[in-house]
Amino acid sequence: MERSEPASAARRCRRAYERARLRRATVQALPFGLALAVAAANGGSWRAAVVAGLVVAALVAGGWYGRGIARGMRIGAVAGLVPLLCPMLVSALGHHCAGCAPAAPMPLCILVCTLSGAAAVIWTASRPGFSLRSIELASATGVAAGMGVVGCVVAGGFGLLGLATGIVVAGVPTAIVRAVR
Amino acid sequence: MDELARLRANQLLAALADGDRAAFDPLFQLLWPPVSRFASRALASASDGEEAAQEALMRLFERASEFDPDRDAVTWALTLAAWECRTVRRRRQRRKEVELPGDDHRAAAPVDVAAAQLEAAAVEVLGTLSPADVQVILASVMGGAGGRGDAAPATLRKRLERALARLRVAWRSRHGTL
Repeated sequence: MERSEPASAARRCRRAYERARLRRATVQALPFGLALAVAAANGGSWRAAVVAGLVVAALVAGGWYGRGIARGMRIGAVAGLVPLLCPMLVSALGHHCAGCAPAAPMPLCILVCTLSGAAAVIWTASRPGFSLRSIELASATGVAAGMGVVGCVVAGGFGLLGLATGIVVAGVPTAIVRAVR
Repeated sequence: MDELARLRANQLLAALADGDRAAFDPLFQLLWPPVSRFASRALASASDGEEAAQEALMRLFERASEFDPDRDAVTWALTLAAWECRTVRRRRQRRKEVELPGDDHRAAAPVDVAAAQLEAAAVEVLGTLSPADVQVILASVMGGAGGRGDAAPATLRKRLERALARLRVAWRSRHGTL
């Protein structure tokens, strides 16, 4: 009896701890989930909705798990708001992203996707404590890229290509600079 | 509990707040004995004490992610235990449970019973204070670092004086003497 009481108490405490972490992670992911839902609805594509769902699930799972993954995902989610919301803002200003293509006179959406992807990567990589091979940087970049996909899908395949270009063009020099330091 | 064990508890709770599950078992083993002992003595009943200790630690582990490493984990656990003891005592009063002679205190000496009752009354009064006041008083009584934060000794002394003054007022309003 003396031994079983603390053991059952420990099990109950462990369950309470895990439940609380899951609840906290869900609450923390809510605002990002809302932004992703709005962007996915704006994109009007089921693929964007699937990616948005996956990003939200990753945010909840990462927040529940904790450690470096959670820290990285929090930063990545904030950075990902830039490529997620910028194409929507451009659309709100009256620009029709669906007509964006390299042949267009001013492919604004593609430009916005490229620049916002680059900004997200530079901001993420500049966080203190994020080393090049850290799990924090990997999870932050993954979440930011996922959110960027949901935002830039409104500009079609060229929008996604612009996002990828921005991430690579900004990411490679940033990685080199950090490696040299 | 010595200062080393307190520091270890703080480190383990900080690790658990970050999501390190390996810190759970050693932290529980570190906190369970003092918390269950405190609650059992405060409630003068081993079974009620274990129940209160379990509830207190459940609350602590639920809120582990909010742990501030500048605070003291053991003091936090004991503060929660004091609140749970108060809840258990209130529940007892509501159910009008009257402890009859002949239960598990049959063999207890009158002095022990009086001490347990006094301690239980103190815990109940402590429960009416704010968590910050409870933390300062418990830290002072047990000589730990709880509630200290970055405050200067003079500030701490002032805080303790104010908390004790409120404790006196609360005691007087319930028991009439001090």
